[in-house]
Amino acid sequence: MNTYDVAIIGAGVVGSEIFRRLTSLGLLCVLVERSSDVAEGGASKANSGLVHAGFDCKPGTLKAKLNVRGAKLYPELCKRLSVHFRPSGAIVAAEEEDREHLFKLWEQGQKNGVPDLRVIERDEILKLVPTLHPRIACALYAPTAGIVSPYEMTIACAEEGVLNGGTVRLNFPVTSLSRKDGVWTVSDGTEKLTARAVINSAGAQSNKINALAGAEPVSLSFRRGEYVLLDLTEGELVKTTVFPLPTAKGKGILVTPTAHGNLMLGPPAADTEDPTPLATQEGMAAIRTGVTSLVGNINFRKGIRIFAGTRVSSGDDFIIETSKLCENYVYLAGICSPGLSSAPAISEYVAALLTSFGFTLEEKPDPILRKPIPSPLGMPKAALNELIKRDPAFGRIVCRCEKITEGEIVAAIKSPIPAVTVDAIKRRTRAGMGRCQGGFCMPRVTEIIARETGVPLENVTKRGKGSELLIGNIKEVQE
Amino acid sequence: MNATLLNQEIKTDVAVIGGGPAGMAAALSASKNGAHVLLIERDVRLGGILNQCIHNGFGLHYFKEELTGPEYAQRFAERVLADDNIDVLTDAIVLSLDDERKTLSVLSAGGLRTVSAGAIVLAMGCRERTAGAISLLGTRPAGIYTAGAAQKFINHYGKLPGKTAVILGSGDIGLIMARRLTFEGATVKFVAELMPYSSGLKRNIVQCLDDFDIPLEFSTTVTRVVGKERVEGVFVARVDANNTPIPETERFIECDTLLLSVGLIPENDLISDSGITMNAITGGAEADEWRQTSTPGVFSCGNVLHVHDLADNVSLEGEIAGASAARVARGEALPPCTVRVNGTDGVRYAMPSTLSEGEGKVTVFFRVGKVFKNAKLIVTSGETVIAKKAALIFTPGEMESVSIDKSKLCGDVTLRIEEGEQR
Repeated sequence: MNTYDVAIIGAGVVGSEIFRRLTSLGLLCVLVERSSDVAEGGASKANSGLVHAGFDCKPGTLKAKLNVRGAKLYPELCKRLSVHFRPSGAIVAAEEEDREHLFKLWEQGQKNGVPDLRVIERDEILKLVPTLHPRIACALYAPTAGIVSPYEMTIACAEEGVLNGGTVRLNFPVTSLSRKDGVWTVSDGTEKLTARAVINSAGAQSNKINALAGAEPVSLSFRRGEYVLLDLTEGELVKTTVFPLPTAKGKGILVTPTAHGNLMLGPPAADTEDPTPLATQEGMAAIRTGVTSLVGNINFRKGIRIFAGTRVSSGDDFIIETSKLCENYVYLAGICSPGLSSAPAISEYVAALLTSFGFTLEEKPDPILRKPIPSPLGMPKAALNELIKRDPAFGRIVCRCEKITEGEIVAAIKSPIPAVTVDAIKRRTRAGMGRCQGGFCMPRVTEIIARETGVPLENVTKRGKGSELLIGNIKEVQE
Repeated sequence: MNATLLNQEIKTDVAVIGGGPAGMAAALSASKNGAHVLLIERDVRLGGILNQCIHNGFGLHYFKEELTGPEYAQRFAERVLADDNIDVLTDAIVLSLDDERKTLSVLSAGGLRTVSAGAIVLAMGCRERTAGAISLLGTRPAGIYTAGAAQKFINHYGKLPGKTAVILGSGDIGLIMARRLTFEGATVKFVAELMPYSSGLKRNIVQCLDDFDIPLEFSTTVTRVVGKERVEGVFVARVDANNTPIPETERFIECDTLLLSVGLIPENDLISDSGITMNAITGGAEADEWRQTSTPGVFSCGNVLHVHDLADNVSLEGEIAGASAARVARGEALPPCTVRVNGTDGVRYAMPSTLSEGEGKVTVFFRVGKVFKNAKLIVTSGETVIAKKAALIFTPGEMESVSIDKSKLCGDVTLRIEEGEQR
């Protein structure tokens, strides 16, 4: 059993991007995740999907530095990963009496080095938001902001790492971390992995992982927030992400198109002790109040899903530190907003920290780039028919609402990080994300997973052990 | 004939989208009227949703027999497959439709093909309303299903979705599933219905709930779901006149499964970008006596036009659409429909929305907006009452029909409810 160079604990977008970058720099890495899939365990699958420009961060903070740097790196990284990046910019909309606030935000953006930031007036805003609330007079416009699918990003980063020699271990909850003779042992109680260095990117569990390692104590606080996702038919209502003025609680409840063309509303912020995602009445009411003061004609009846995420913070800034109590140990904590935006810069930062551990990092030439699963939608007819000739499964639609084929689902099961749960398939293919929310396709997706992985239907889960969809045969069926 | 069509471009007289009861009836009727038909079905076999409706009660009107869903479907499927004028393409889906040009883009394991038709019949059925559409609150564990998805698991795959269930919504599918789950060894603890009345057929309340002592409470809803990985229970509460949950009435019911039977939505996304006029109340297209939409040559029938309760009526509607499509495909003009049909005073909608003048009887379907007891349906044309129908009860959950003698028409038609004494 090889000793890895680095073990990264927590396969959210930050952990996965660190895994990708360190692998591309020549290190042998293992990415360890307690849940059944990358992006499954925490905030990375349930956030706004925004690449912020960086004007909202306090100058001089790690957040400010890494957000602005991350936003700069995003378009290139997404191109490399074949992940769709929507350069749709963002606006902070304000009423006339709040113009001063807006200006202060602009000044902060200048201090942070955010490019091309400017204040625009109502007539220009209307081009981006035709149904703008009548009281909105001006807005801060950040053209460098963008939209990305956060779980698509996470999966792509992790896949590139795997294709270039890294290992991903799912269903591996770390229960002990110990260091002896210059080597860390990372264990889930059954299996032991060894690595020269450990990186803790465990999100809401980062304090627990530090405690296991004997590293610095970390105190976390959680804030829950819901999102309402509207049908694809509503995706053109706004052409950019619309924020209200930020408050002490955060960036506020926004209206944004998503990377895939839905309209998304949210999130409110409710302090909580329990990071389990939860959709509440208060949250829904807050969303309605918040968005209707920004944008008109939002058709709430076109809501297709509510989901919820939990932000993890630790004080006011990111914590990305080399431990002084443990050797060769880096911990990240409180990577709340702008965590997604900062991910490419965070991985740079962490790579730099690793040089102090004696690692030599050198960009590997000719990395293997991950290829996305071919999608029949939008493919030119000749190319599609060629694909179907090679593999007829790409002509059989399973998810009618999003038009996802059996070929794509099987490709997801066979991908570098195999998708073997319903939610993992959903994240990689979008099957089940449409207006019927899996009402039609979920039984067939379950069947395909069972067939391809050779298990009975009742073993297939929504997102890992404990979330089995079925409990067994009906009385009638004799096995 | 179940054809393996090798051509990339297919020409046909009538293209029928959907091979369920509506589409099959339309295809047979179009063929009988001399058209060559292409029937496109997304599942691997014909039958539509009937294939998973293994309970009986189908065909009482159409065949004067009591059949199960699959039996009813098979009566049509056999005839479709034996009909040389009908080409069937299964495991195929229409990706896009140009209503003006009458062309379809169809994807199947045989490739991406273009279909050009003289007329198109929309028979795509409907989908179920989702947890997201009703803003279901709480956590997101496994164990939350729409009733139809649960039905598929049980009836098609032979698998039980859970051991103890709560059902939200007294729609027919939910009622049928309450009985089905009970038969297969699960316990259905409770059925909650938001409205003060059932949205399903009375006979299903009796045969699926009453007969199994499954409690049903009206004006009640699920306020939130509990459970991290799998449902552990739900909170239910009474609602007030505004359908707002009354907090003091909230109570917890332990269960591992929540079924949603909260409404059906006609699946019209294929025509959402077209110019076809839609009816905001039914969720389907506006259609005339021939089931023709606002685009000449495009017809609609079955659940995609308006949600039915009886497959028998779906078949009858499919026949009208198919026959009419065949006539248009061969260049015939259909009699213009200039007589408007409106629902008012309790009648939520009437289908069709326009009639032609002339002779003969025509059936108008309608639904009421709330429960009426000991009431009368009054049908007027112009100022004259041309039909009446009395009933002990009119309820939104049961589609009604009235026969109209077209020779009596003398102006736009209005359907309204005359309330009787309340018991």
